[in-house]
Amino acid sequence: MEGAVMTDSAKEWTASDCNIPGLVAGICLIALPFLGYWWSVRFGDGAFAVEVSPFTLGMYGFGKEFFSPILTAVNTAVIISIVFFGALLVVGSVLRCSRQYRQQSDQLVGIAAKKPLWLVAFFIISIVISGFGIEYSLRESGIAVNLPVIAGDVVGSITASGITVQIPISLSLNTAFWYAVVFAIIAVYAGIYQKRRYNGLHVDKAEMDTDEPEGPEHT
Amino acid sequence: MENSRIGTVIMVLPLLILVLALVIALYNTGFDMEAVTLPENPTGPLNETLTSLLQADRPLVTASGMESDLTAGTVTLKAGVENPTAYPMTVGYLEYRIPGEDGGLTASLAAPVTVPPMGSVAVELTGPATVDAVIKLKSGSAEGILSFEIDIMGIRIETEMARTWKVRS
Repeated sequence: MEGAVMTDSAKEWTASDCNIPGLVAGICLIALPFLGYWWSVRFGDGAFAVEVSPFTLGMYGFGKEFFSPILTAVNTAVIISIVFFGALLVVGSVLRCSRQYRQQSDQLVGIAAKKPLWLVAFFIISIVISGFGIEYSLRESGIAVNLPVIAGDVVGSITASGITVQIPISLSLNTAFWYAVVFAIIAVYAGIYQKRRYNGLHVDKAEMDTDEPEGPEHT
Repeated sequence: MENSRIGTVIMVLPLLILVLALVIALYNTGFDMEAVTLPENPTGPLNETLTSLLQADRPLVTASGMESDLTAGTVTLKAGVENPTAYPMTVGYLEYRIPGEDGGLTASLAAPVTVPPMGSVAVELTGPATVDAVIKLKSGSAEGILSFEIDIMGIRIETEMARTWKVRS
Protein backbone atom coordinates (compact mmCIF):
# COMPACT_ATOMS: atom_id res chain seq x y z
CA MET A 1 0.00 0.00 0.00
CA GLU A 2 2.88 2.29 0.89
CA GLY A 3 4.57 1.48 -2.45
CA ALA A 4 1.37 2.22 -4.31
CA VAL A 5 1.12 5.63 -2.72
CA MET A 6 4.73 6.37 -3.64
CA THR A 7 4.05 5.28 -7.24
CA ASP A 8 1.04 7.54 -7.49
CA SER A 9 2.81 10.52 -6.02
CA ALA A 10 5.56 10.11 -8.64
CA LYS A 11 3.11 9.71 -11.52
CA GLU A 12 0.94 12.70 -10.83
CA TRP A 13 3.01 15.68 -11.88
CA THR A 14 1.82 18.98 -10.56
CA ALA A 15 3.24 22.46 -10.23
CA SER A 16 4.63 21.41 -6.85
CA ASP A 17 6.96 19.00 -8.69
CA CYS A 18 8.73 21.99 -10.21
CA ASN A 19 12.06 22.91 -8.70
CA ILE A 20 10.79 25.85 -6.64
CA PRO A 21 14.25 26.87 -5.33
CA GLY A 22 15.48 26.69 -8.92
CA LEU A 23 12.64 28.88 -10.09
CA VAL A 24 13.39 31.44 -7.37
CA ALA A 25 17.15 31.29 -8.10
CA GLY A 26 16.52 31.70 -11.85
CA ILE A 27 14.38 34.81 -11.38
CA CYS A 28 16.93 36.21 -8.92
CA LEU A 29 19.76 35.55 -11.39
CA ILE A 30 17.90 37.42 -14.13
CA ALA A 31 17.49 40.37 -11.74
CA LEU A 32 21.05 40.22 -10.37
CA PRO A 33 22.82 42.36 -13.05
CA PHE A 34 20.44 45.23 -12.33
CA LEU A 35 20.92 45.42 -8.55
CA GLY A 36 23.94 47.71 -8.63
CA TYR A 37 27.60 47.66 -7.76
CA TRP A 38 29.09 44.91 -5.61
CA TRP A 39 32.32 46.54 -4.46
CA SER A 40 33.40 50.16 -4.04
CA VAL A 41 36.76 51.81 -3.53
CA ARG A 42 36.55 55.49 -2.61
CA PHE A 43 39.37 57.98 -2.26
CA GLY A 44 38.45 61.04 -0.22
CA ASP A 45 34.94 62.40 -0.51
CA GLY A 46 34.33 61.95 -4.24
CA ALA A 47 37.93 62.65 -5.25
CA PHE A 48 38.17 59.27 -6.92
CA ALA A 49 35.93 56.25 -6.84
CA VAL A 50 35.83 52.84 -8.47
CA GLU A 51 32.58 50.92 -8.27
CA VAL A 52 32.61 47.39 -9.56
CA SER A 53 30.38 44.42 -10.18
CA PRO A 54 30.77 41.67 -12.78
CA PHE A 55 28.14 43.55 -14.78
CA THR A 56 29.22 47.18 -14.48
CA LEU A 57 32.30 49.25 -13.84
CA GLY A 58 32.09 52.87 -12.74
CA MET A 59 35.17 55.06 -12.44
CA TYR A 60 34.82 58.63 -11.24
CA GLY A 61 37.57 61.13 -10.57
CA PHE A 62 36.95 64.73 -9.45
CA GLY A 63 33.45 64.77 -10.90
CA LYS A 64 34.48 63.19 -14.18
CA GLU A 65 33.41 59.75 -15.32
CA PHE A 66 35.87 57.42 -17.04
CA PHE A 67 34.81 54.81 -19.51
CA SER A 68 36.53 51.67 -20.76
CA PRO A 69 34.98 50.22 -23.94
CA ILE A 70 36.59 46.80 -23.46
CA LEU A 71 35.43 46.43 -19.86
CA THR A 72 31.95 47.59 -20.85
CA ALA A 73 31.94 44.89 -23.56
CA VAL A 74 33.03 42.23 -21.05
CA ASN A 75 30.38 43.44 -18.59
CA THR A 76 27.69 43.28 -21.28
CA ALA A 77 28.74 39.72 -22.19
CA VAL A 78 28.57 38.72 -18.51
CA ILE A 79 25.10 40.31 -18.17
CA ILE A 80 23.84 38.37 -21.21
CA SER A 81 25.42 35.13 -19.94
CA ILE A 82 24.00 35.42 -16.43
CA VAL A 83 20.53 36.33 -17.69
CA PHE A 84 20.84 33.34 -20.06
CA PHE A 85 21.80 30.99 -17.21
CA GLY A 86 18.98 32.45 -15.10
CA ALA A 87 16.56 31.68 -17.92
CA LEU A 88 17.97 28.13 -18.18
CA LEU A 89 17.42 27.67 -14.46
CA VAL A 90 13.83 28.89 -14.77
CA VAL A 91 13.10 26.67 -17.79
CA GLY A 92 14.84 23.66 -16.22
CA SER A 93 12.96 24.13 -12.96
CA VAL A 94 9.61 24.37 -14.74
CA LEU A 95 10.36 21.38 -17.03
CA ARG A 96 10.81 19.27 -13.92
CA CYS A 97 6.99 19.16 -13.71
CA SER A 98 6.94 17.11 -16.89
CA ARG A 99 8.17 13.51 -16.85
CA GLN A 100 8.80 13.74 -20.59
CA TYR A 101 11.37 16.51 -20.19
CA ARG A 102 12.84 15.45 -16.89
CA GLN A 103 16.23 14.57 -18.37
CA GLN A 104 16.47 17.98 -20.06
CA SER A 105 15.35 19.59 -16.83
CA ASP A 106 18.19 17.90 -14.93
CA GLN A 107 20.65 18.95 -17.58
CA LEU A 108 19.57 22.61 -17.62
CA VAL A 109 19.48 22.94 -13.84
CA GLY A 110 22.80 21.07 -13.59
CA ILE A 111 24.47 23.53 -16.00
CA ALA A 112 23.04 26.70 -14.46
CA ALA A 113 22.91 25.92 -10.73
CA LYS A 114 26.58 26.42 -9.91
CA LYS A 115 27.22 29.40 -12.20
CA PRO A 116 26.29 32.09 -9.62
CA LEU A 117 28.62 30.47 -7.09
CA TRP A 118 31.46 30.51 -9.61
CA LEU A 119 30.63 34.13 -10.43
CA VAL A 120 30.83 35.16 -6.76
CA ALA A 121 34.05 33.16 -6.22
CA PHE A 122 35.65 34.62 -9.36
CA PHE A 123 34.59 38.12 -8.29
CA ILE A 124 36.13 37.73 -4.81
CA ILE A 125 39.42 36.53 -6.33
CA SER A 126 39.32 39.46 -8.78
CA ILE A 127 38.79 42.11 -6.11
CA VAL A 128 41.51 40.67 -3.88
CA ILE A 129 43.93 40.87 -6.83
CA SER A 130 42.61 44.38 -7.68
CA GLY A 131 43.19 45.46 -4.06
CA PHE A 132 46.82 44.39 -4.25
CA GLY A 133 47.08 46.15 -7.62
CA ILE A 134 45.70 49.41 -6.20
CA GLU A 135 48.06 49.20 -3.21
CA TYR A 136 51.02 48.60 -5.52
CA SER A 137 50.03 51.57 -7.73
CA LEU A 138 49.66 53.86 -4.70
CA ARG A 139 53.04 52.83 -3.33
CA GLU A 140 54.59 53.43 -6.73
CA SER A 141 53.13 56.98 -6.56
CA GLY A 142 54.77 57.47 -3.14
CA ILE A 143 51.57 57.09 -1.12
CA ALA A 144 52.32 54.90 1.88
CA VAL A 145 49.30 52.74 2.58
CA ASN A 146 48.34 49.27 3.75
CA LEU A 147 45.01 48.57 2.11
CA PRO A 148 42.60 46.21 3.86
CA VAL A 149 41.63 43.08 1.95
CA ILE A 150 38.20 43.56 0.30
CA ALA A 151 36.63 45.90 2.91
CA GLY A 152 37.75 48.48 5.43
CA ASP A 153 38.94 52.06 5.87
CA VAL A 154 42.48 53.35 5.83
CA VAL A 155 44.28 56.66 5.37
CA GLY A 156 47.09 56.84 2.86
CA SER A 157 49.64 59.61 3.20
CA ILE A 158 52.34 61.25 1.15
CA THR A 159 54.78 63.86 2.41
CA ALA A 160 56.64 66.22 0.12
CA SER A 161 58.24 69.63 0.78
CA GLY A 162 56.88 69.68 4.33
CA ILE A 163 53.33 69.14 3.13
CA THR A 164 51.48 66.05 4.23
CA VAL A 165 48.66 64.85 2.02
CA GLN A 166 46.26 62.44 3.65
CA ILE A 167 43.90 60.45 1.47
CA PRO A 168 41.14 58.51 3.23
CA ILE A 169 40.52 55.28 1.32
CA SER A 170 37.40 53.23 1.87
CA LEU A 171 36.79 49.76 0.47
CA SER A 172 33.34 48.29 0.93
CA LEU A 173 31.17 45.42 -0.21
CA ASN A 174 27.72 46.66 -1.14
CA THR A 175 24.27 45.18 -0.61
CA ALA A 176 24.15 43.81 -4.18
CA PHE A 177 27.13 41.56 -3.39
CA TRP A 178 25.30 40.00 -0.43
CA TYR A 179 22.24 39.52 -2.65
CA ALA A 180 24.53 37.68 -5.09
CA VAL A 181 25.83 35.45 -2.28
CA VAL A 182 22.27 34.61 -1.19
CA PHE A 183 21.21 33.94 -4.81
CA ALA A 184 24.26 31.70 -5.31
CA ILE A 185 23.33 29.67 -2.21
CA ILE A 186 19.73 29.33 -3.43
CA ALA A 187 20.97 28.24 -6.87
CA VAL A 188 23.31 25.62 -5.37
CA TYR A 189 20.45 24.40 -3.20
CA ALA A 190 18.29 24.20 -6.34
CA GLY A 191 20.86 21.81 -7.84
CA ILE A 192 20.78 19.63 -4.72
CA TYR A 193 16.99 19.78 -4.64
CA GLN A 194 16.82 18.65 -8.26
CA LYS A 195 18.96 15.58 -7.54
CA ARG A 196 17.21 14.78 -4.29
CA ARG A 197 13.82 14.49 -5.92
CA TYR A 198 15.35 12.39 -8.71
CA ASN A 199 15.42 9.43 -6.30
CA GLY A 200 11.63 9.37 -6.42
CA LEU A 201 11.84 8.66 -10.13
CA HIS A 202 13.88 5.51 -9.53
CA VAL A 203 11.10 4.20 -7.32
CA ASP A 204 8.63 5.26 -9.94
CA LYS A 205 10.57 3.46 -12.71
CA ALA A 206 10.84 0.30 -10.63
CA GLU A 207 7.13 0.35 -10.09
CA MET A 208 6.47 1.13 -13.75
CA ASP A 209 8.52 -1.88 -14.88
CA THR A 210 6.05 -4.22 -13.26
CA ASP A 211 3.33 -2.82 -15.61
CA GLU A 212 0.93 -3.02 -12.77
CA PRO A 213 -2.45 -1.59 -13.88
CA GLU A 214 -3.61 1.32 -11.86
CA GLY A 215 -6.66 0.60 -9.83
CA PRO A 216 -9.22 3.19 -8.84
CA GLU A 217 -8.24 2.64 -5.21
CA HIS A 218 -4.82 4.10 -6.00
CA THR A 219 -6.16 7.47 -7.01
CA MET B 1 24.02 12.14 -27.56
CA GLU B 2 21.65 14.92 -28.49
CA ASN B 3 21.48 16.09 -24.89
CA SER B 4 25.26 16.24 -24.58
CA ARG B 5 25.33 18.35 -27.77
CA ILE B 6 22.80 20.75 -26.25
CA GLY B 7 24.98 20.90 -23.13
CA THR B 8 28.06 21.72 -25.18
CA VAL B 9 26.22 24.47 -27.08
CA ILE B 10 24.96 25.97 -23.81
CA MET B 11 28.45 25.92 -22.32
CA VAL B 12 30.08 27.46 -25.41
CA LEU B 13 27.43 30.16 -25.97
CA PRO B 14 28.63 32.56 -23.19
CA LEU B 15 32.17 32.29 -24.53
CA LEU B 16 30.94 33.17 -28.01
CA ILE B 17 29.01 36.14 -26.62
CA LEU B 18 32.18 37.32 -24.83
CA VAL B 19 34.32 37.01 -27.96
CA LEU B 20 31.66 38.80 -30.02
CA ALA B 21 31.45 41.63 -27.46
CA LEU B 22 35.23 42.05 -27.48
CA VAL B 23 35.34 42.10 -31.27
CA ILE B 24 32.55 44.72 -31.39
CA ALA B 25 34.40 46.88 -28.82
CA LEU B 26 37.65 46.62 -30.78
CA TYR B 27 35.87 47.34 -34.08
CA ASN B 28 34.17 50.44 -32.62
CA THR B 29 37.53 51.87 -31.57
CA GLY B 30 39.24 50.99 -34.84
CA PHE B 31 41.27 48.21 -33.17
CA ASP B 32 43.14 50.83 -31.13
CA MET B 33 44.22 49.02 -27.97
CA GLU B 34 44.75 52.20 -25.95
CA ALA B 35 41.34 53.60 -26.87
CA VAL B 36 39.59 50.32 -26.12
CA THR B 37 41.11 49.82 -22.66
CA LEU B 38 41.14 53.23 -20.99
CA PRO B 39 41.16 56.30 -23.26
CA GLU B 40 41.86 58.62 -20.31
CA ASN B 41 43.98 58.12 -17.23
CA PRO B 42 41.46 58.00 -14.36
CA THR B 43 44.03 59.10 -11.78
CA GLY B 44 44.98 62.11 -13.95
CA PRO B 45 42.83 64.73 -12.15
CA LEU B 46 44.00 63.46 -8.75
CA ASN B 47 47.66 63.69 -9.76
CA GLU B 48 47.15 67.13 -11.35
CA THR B 49 45.49 68.46 -8.21
CA LEU B 50 48.18 67.13 -5.88
CA THR B 51 50.92 68.43 -8.16
CA SER B 52 49.38 71.90 -8.34
CA LEU B 53 49.25 72.00 -4.54
CA LEU B 54 52.68 70.55 -3.85
CA GLN B 55 54.48 72.48 -6.58
CA ALA B 56 52.60 75.79 -6.45
CA ASP B 57 54.72 78.77 -7.60
CA ARG B 58 53.36 81.02 -4.87
CA PRO B 59 52.58 80.18 -1.25
CA LEU B 60 48.96 79.24 -0.66
CA VAL B 61 48.72 81.75 2.21
CA THR B 62 50.05 85.27 1.71
CA ALA B 63 50.09 87.99 4.37
CA SER B 64 48.15 91.12 3.47
CA GLY B 65 48.02 93.13 6.69
CA MET B 66 47.77 93.23 10.45
CA GLU B 67 45.98 95.12 13.19
CA SER B 68 46.66 95.01 16.88
CA ASP B 69 44.91 96.14 20.04
CA LEU B 70 47.62 96.31 22.67
CA THR B 71 45.25 97.27 25.47
CA ALA B 72 43.10 94.22 24.81
CA GLY B 73 46.18 92.11 24.02
CA THR B 74 44.84 90.84 20.70
CA VAL B 75 46.03 90.80 17.13
CA THR B 76 44.24 90.40 13.80
CA LEU B 77 46.29 89.11 10.88
CA LYS B 78 44.91 89.56 7.38
CA ALA B 79 45.84 87.10 4.68
CA GLY B 80 44.83 85.79 1.29
CA VAL B 81 44.37 82.11 0.66
CA GLU B 82 44.84 80.95 -2.93
CA ASN B 83 43.43 77.86 -4.51
CA PRO B 84 45.67 76.71 -7.40
CA THR B 85 43.46 73.71 -8.17
CA ALA B 86 40.40 73.36 -10.40
CA TYR B 87 38.23 72.24 -7.48
CA PRO B 88 36.74 74.00 -4.43
CA MET B 89 39.08 73.96 -1.46
CA THR B 90 38.08 74.24 2.18
CA VAL B 91 40.47 75.72 4.70
CA GLY B 92 39.50 74.05 7.94
CA TYR B 93 42.36 75.21 10.09
CA LEU B 94 44.78 78.09 9.69
CA GLU B 95 47.02 79.34 12.44
CA TYR B 96 50.03 81.61 12.77
CA ARG B 97 51.96 81.60 16.01
CA ILE B 98 55.10 83.16 17.39
CA PRO B 99 56.30 81.16 20.36
CA GLY B 100 57.40 83.16 23.38
CA GLU B 101 58.11 82.60 27.05
CA ASP B 102 55.38 85.07 27.98
CA GLY B 103 52.81 83.54 25.64
CA GLY B 104 53.89 84.97 22.32
CA LEU B 105 51.22 85.23 19.65
CA THR B 106 48.64 82.79 18.44
CA ALA B 107 46.21 83.88 15.74
CA SER B 108 43.83 81.46 14.13
CA LEU B 109 40.92 81.27 11.72
CA ALA B 110 37.55 81.57 13.47
CA ALA B 111 35.61 79.34 11.05
CA PRO B 112 36.37 77.22 7.96
CA VAL B 113 36.30 79.04 4.63
CA THR B 114 35.85 77.70 1.12
CA VAL B 115 38.06 79.00 -1.67
CA PRO B 116 36.63 78.73 -5.20
CA PRO B 117 38.61 76.92 -7.93
CA MET B 118 41.60 78.96 -9.17
CA GLY B 119 40.46 81.81 -6.91
CA SER B 120 41.45 83.40 -3.63
CA VAL B 121 39.70 84.46 -0.44
CA ALA B 122 40.67 87.03 2.17
CA VAL B 123 40.79 85.66 5.69
CA GLU B 124 41.43 87.06 9.15
CA LEU B 125 43.30 85.30 11.91
CA THR B 126 42.64 86.56 15.39
CA GLY B 127 44.01 85.69 18.78
CA PRO B 128 45.91 86.81 21.88
CA ALA B 129 49.30 88.45 21.55
CA THR B 130 51.81 89.95 23.93
CA VAL B 131 53.25 93.43 23.35
CA ASP B 132 56.70 91.95 22.63
CA ALA B 133 55.28 89.57 20.03
CA VAL B 134 53.37 92.40 18.30
CA ILE B 135 56.50 94.56 18.18
CA LYS B 136 58.48 91.66 16.69
CA LEU B 137 55.72 91.01 14.21
CA LYS B 138 55.56 94.65 13.08
CA SER B 139 59.34 94.77 12.67
CA GLY B 140 59.14 91.77 10.37
CA SER B 141 61.99 90.12 12.22
CA ALA B 142 60.03 87.46 14.04
CA GLU B 143 59.79 84.08 12.42
CA GLY B 144 56.58 82.37 13.33
CA ILE B 145 55.02 79.06 12.42
CA LEU B 146 52.24 78.95 9.88
CA SER B 147 50.18 75.79 9.96
CA PHE B 148 47.09 74.99 7.98
CA GLU B 149 44.83 72.17 6.98
CA ILE B 150 42.94 72.22 3.70
CA ASP B 151 40.46 69.80 2.25
CA ILE B 152 39.77 69.09 -1.40
CA MET B 153 37.04 66.51 -1.98
CA GLY B 154 37.95 64.65 1.18
CA ILE B 155 41.71 64.76 0.57
CA ARG B 156 43.31 66.49 3.55
CA ILE B 157 46.49 68.48 3.15
CA GLU B 158 48.36 69.54 6.28
CA THR B 159 51.46 71.63 6.55
CA GLU B 160 53.49 73.51 9.09
CA MET B 161 56.22 75.87 7.99
CA ALA B 162 58.41 78.61 9.42
CA ARG B 163 57.37 81.99 8.00
CA THR B 164 57.80 85.68 8.70
CA TRP B 165 54.59 87.71 8.49
CA LYS B 166 55.69 90.15 5.83
CA VAL B 167 53.06 92.22 4.13
CA ARG B 168 53.74 92.61 0.43
CA SER B 169 53.31 96.13 -0.80
